[in-house]
Amino acid sequence: MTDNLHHLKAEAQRFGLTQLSDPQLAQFANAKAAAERMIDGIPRDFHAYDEPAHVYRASEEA
Amino acid sequence: MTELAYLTLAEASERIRNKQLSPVDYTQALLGRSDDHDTKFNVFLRQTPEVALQHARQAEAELQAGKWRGPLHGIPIGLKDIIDLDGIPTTGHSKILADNLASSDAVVTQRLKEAGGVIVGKLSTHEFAIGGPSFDLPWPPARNGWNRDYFPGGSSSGSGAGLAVGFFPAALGTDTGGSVRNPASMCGIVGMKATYGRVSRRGVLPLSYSLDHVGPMTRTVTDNAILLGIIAGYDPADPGSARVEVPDFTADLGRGVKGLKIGVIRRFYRQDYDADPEITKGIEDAVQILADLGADIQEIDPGPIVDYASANRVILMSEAYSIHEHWLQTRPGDYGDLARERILPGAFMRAVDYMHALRQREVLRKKFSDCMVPVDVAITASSMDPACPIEDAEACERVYGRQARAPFNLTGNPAMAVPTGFASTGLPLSMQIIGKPFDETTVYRVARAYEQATDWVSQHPELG
Repeated sequence: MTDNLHHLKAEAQRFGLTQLSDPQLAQFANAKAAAERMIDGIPRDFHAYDEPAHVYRASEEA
Repeated sequence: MTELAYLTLAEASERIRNKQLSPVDYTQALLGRSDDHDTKFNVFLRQTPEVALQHARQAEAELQAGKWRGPLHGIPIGLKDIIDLDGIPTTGHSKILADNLASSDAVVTQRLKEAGGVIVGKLSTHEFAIGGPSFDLPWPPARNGWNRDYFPGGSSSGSGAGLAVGFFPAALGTDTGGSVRNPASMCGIVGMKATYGRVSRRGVLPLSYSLDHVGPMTRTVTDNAILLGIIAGYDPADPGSARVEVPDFTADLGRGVKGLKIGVIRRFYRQDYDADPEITKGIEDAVQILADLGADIQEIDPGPIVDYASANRVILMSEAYSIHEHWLQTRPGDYGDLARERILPGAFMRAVDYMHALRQREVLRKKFSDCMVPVDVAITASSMDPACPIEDAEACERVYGRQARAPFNLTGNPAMAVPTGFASTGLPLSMQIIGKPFDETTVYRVARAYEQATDWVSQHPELG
């Protein structure tokens, strides 16, 4: 087993992804890079009062 | 037979009501058409002839007794196979859920049944409404009715393809990043993603809770407005459902566009993306037609599409992974390659990334709302390209992302794909019409005025 594959398996294990085959581990590695690109597209300089969009509402039935 | 296959919902309904068309004969004719031709298009994952004929016989008996439930009474309709139909598996086009028998109807299914709809079957999708077109699943992907070598769009692929080839006059799809409007665009039909909260999602396999919408798909604008009127309405079992009145969406269909203000979002297809010239021409021709009909056209700019797409992706990935985590941990090999590849990035989204994306969503919702203030509706591209060859994985991947639909899943605005003619290859072209929240009525009004001024809806593919 190469160091890289060993490292990938260990990282996948942290996510509970213990059953990934070698090709699926390669997908897992690509997914990490893809996620980083996606996250880079989101600004992080919000004011503390900038609330997120919500779906949650307090129940009117309580 | 072709004449029955391409009846609109409204035309069929009128004939049924006047007892000129038997719901049983109509249903049998359409089921027979799909029996004859579906090996070419893979529209159905499962036909439900027993269910359909039972619904059709009941409709016929009721109509004979003088009871008319409304415009869907006796009308065949297909369901994307992530929507529950009691007693029939909801597979999500996935091996993971191949035996997932639905124990009740989705709320939308219930509403269709109460309106007298005839459910003819469960339709192809991309795996879990995200992974497709895929050739490594238990069922093949749907193919485009205009040319079976081409992609029909997705993820409501069977709904779009089946309408194009006349297997049913109405279908339901779902839309998280454009999955009603993409197949509508690729298949030359009409697909509406109504305002977030307008239609219940209870009993529909989720992909991303805060972005998912159920939407009507039809061949004409009028049919679409009728169908939305049937499935819309508050549902206390859906946390995202909006407690708002359901208007008559057909009320303004004949009012024309004289005096309406229409904003054109050219930046999405000219600046942010360089759309295929035939797509651009189709939109610009449509805008000119609407101007000739008396609409006041102006350009609006909601900012770069990438801002919307980025927030949409982080939210979608985070929410989808929370749904799929268990199956990815226990049955990763039972996913198709594409679904696994598209869902796995969600593992790396931290809570803080998701929260920032949700905060950005609110910023963009306000920004879009501000840019819509001076207009009644907006027009922009749906897909930046016509359909690509379905077996060209690279082209499908490239075209998949070149779209302007996801911004409206993020903002929640109603958005509808409407045909704008055909490319030189014979494949359909389309545009989107976007409305203000809960103002689907004006979107339909504009779409109907344009539809009446063109003859795209009268054209259908040859099935051979």
